[in-house]
Amino acid sequence: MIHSTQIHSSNQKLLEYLAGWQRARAELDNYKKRQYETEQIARRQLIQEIAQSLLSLVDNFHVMTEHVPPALKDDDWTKGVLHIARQMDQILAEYGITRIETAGLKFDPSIHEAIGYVSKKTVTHGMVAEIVLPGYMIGDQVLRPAKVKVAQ
Amino acid sequence: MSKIIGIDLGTTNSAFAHVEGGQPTILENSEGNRTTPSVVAINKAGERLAGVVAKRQAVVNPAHTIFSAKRLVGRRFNDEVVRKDKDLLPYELKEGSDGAVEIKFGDEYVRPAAISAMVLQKIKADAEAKLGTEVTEAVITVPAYFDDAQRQATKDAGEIAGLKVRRIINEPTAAALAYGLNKKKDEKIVVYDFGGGTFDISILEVADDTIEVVATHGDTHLGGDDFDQRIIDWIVKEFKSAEGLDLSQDQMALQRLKEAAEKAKHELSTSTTTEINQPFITTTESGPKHLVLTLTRAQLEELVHEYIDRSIKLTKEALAEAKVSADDIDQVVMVGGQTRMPKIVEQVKQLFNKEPHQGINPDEVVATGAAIQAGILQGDVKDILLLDVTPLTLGLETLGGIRTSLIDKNTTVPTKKSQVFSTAADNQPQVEIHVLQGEREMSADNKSLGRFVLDGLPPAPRGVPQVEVTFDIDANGILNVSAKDKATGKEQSIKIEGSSGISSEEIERMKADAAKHAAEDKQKKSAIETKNQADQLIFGTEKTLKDAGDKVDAVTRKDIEAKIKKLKEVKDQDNLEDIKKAAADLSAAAQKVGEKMYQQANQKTASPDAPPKEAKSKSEDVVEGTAEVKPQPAKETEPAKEK
Repeated sequence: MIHSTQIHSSNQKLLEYLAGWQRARAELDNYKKRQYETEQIARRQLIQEIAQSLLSLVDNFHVMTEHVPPALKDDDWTKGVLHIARQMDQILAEYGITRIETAGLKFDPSIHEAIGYVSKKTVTHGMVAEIVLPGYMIGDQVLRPAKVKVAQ
Repeated sequence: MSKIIGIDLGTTNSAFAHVEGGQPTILENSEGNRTTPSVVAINKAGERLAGVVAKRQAVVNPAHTIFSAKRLVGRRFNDEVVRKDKDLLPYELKEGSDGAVEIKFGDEYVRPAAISAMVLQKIKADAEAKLGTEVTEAVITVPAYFDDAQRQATKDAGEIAGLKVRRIINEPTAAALAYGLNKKKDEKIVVYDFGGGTFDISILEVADDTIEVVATHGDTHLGGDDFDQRIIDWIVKEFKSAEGLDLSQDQMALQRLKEAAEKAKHELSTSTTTEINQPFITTTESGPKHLVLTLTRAQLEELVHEYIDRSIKLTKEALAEAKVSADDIDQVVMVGGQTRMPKIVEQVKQLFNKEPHQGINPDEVVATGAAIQAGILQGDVKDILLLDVTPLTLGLETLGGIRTSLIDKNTTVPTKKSQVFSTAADNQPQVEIHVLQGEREMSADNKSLGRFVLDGLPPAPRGVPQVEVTFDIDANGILNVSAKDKATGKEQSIKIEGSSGISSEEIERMKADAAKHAAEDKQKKSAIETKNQADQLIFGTEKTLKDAGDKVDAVTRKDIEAKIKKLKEVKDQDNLEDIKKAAADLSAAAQKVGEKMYQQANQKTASPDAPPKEAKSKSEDVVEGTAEVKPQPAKETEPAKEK
């Protein structure tokens, strides 16, 4: 004979196990979804990491293009180097990496990093007066803020 | 049910984490970073900013950008610490009506706790966005030396931010929790925390389920940032002596140097030398100047040795204060990014004569520990399902005495895995399944759990029969191994109880054994695999020759037969290079047969003006795809022993 309290406790256990099982299945399901997301994030982070280390190269390339000796300006070899610099920007663009626009903008700490003030009569107070180091975005995230001087 | 998160509210940076599926995980903030600057600001428009955004505008808004508020939290205006820091901080402080410190923020004066609350508010919002659920409770860490007033103020900060602070725990305690050291009863632990701006040393003692702080010491103005500055100064000095130019006056150059110095410091943690390469660092009338310097690890250590020495001196003082000697310490935990520096690890190791714990990211270890504490507090889900893992790899013996694994160690049970095997000899009537447990490559070195024979296989050339072997472990750790011949449906199985009932000492011993013999085992395995492949190549080539019949001319046949003979000769000797060479020779010769056969077929069917080049590439494809000639992976079970 099974006593009613035994049935009751068995029933309780049944419900508990069922709930636990459902929870485990749900967690697995959620885990799989999160895993997918995590993979996407990991991929993005990898691109970011590589892009980050390439930025110093990009910086230096741009500095170089700005320092072409006047006598070599029309030299074909120089032109070739300038083409390479452009090609580099194109590759960055392919990965969604774009230069942060700064010219004539109001200082915005979400994309700019202030490294100092500068007195300039031609620029209104609180505006970006000078770009010290260009910034880059990857998609809608800041890869590196543009380092700027702000007009006083 | 809302989630409890763990927060490391740091002086310069903060981090936050939660427990997910039993594992602590650091959460990223809305900018995608794993740490958040503990900085808040209010701009001219009255907007409040927190985190990296506040930090970026600090230079142009110094009076209203508040950093290091933690140095002031819960302190009185007349504290010596506050007096000292006051001159270093660019924002204004005043004494409140009750003697506490107040900070000018916008048009009003606020308590440091209100500043910390703004950092916590950002953390709360970012955690909610990341987790997609409301976060209303938190565990927050504080330095071990914080007094009651400072702890209360931190708690207040949490409440202002809308977080019920379930517990305030000490940072070193959190670090110890992250490494699971709370279970090490009656042990003494040193936590060496070298952060960006502060250095803290704590001595802890684990009593019954509690971690007690025995002594604390440190320097609130010593950190990794000092190391960076030393490198920058060195670069400036070197450049000046070489070029006569002072880069410290050139803001653009200085920005680049800052990044370069930090990068160099990081690189020297893993390599012994690094190049600081900054072309076009500045321009003079005579043209552009390039900065190219080499910094060695030894040079860096020389530059910063006084800081490291100071941290070691403070550590010794803390030991003296706690009246313990370095030998009394059982565990050492490293916290803070600067502890990645090998010289620091070396010095700490030397002092305590033991390997410090440093497996967890030192920037995240405190937040990780806080999350573990949060997880303990949250632990209200009744765990009726205790999931076990297989402590050692389970597998079976295959041709040549190699162990082939089926279920890897640390696999959560219940679990099931199948793999198809075949025979190693023609007309082999049976296969023997020898079940093994362990981490070694050769079956003889593993523990034998049992064996059985599946017989009655119909006569067939080797490699043709398909025997599916299934390993199935149930929730109680009982292992069921079955083998089924796919052709006849014949099945045999064995039940092994207590496959996990192996003592933890034995598991450790077996793992250590495997690690010790890893290299030699790998060599042995590769030798056997090479022999197996040679064996298969001989078999396959002989079959091809037979199938081809008179399509193969006598010269080619003779050549191949000679090469088979040669391979057979060297196969059973131990010179692997000879075997590989003979196998490669045979393989190349055998390919020619396929090529020839294809050409013959082609001559009959192809149109006469088909380009010969195409024909060649096609024939190559076919040979590549000829399974008989290609060595197959050693998956056959060992040949059944004749009874």
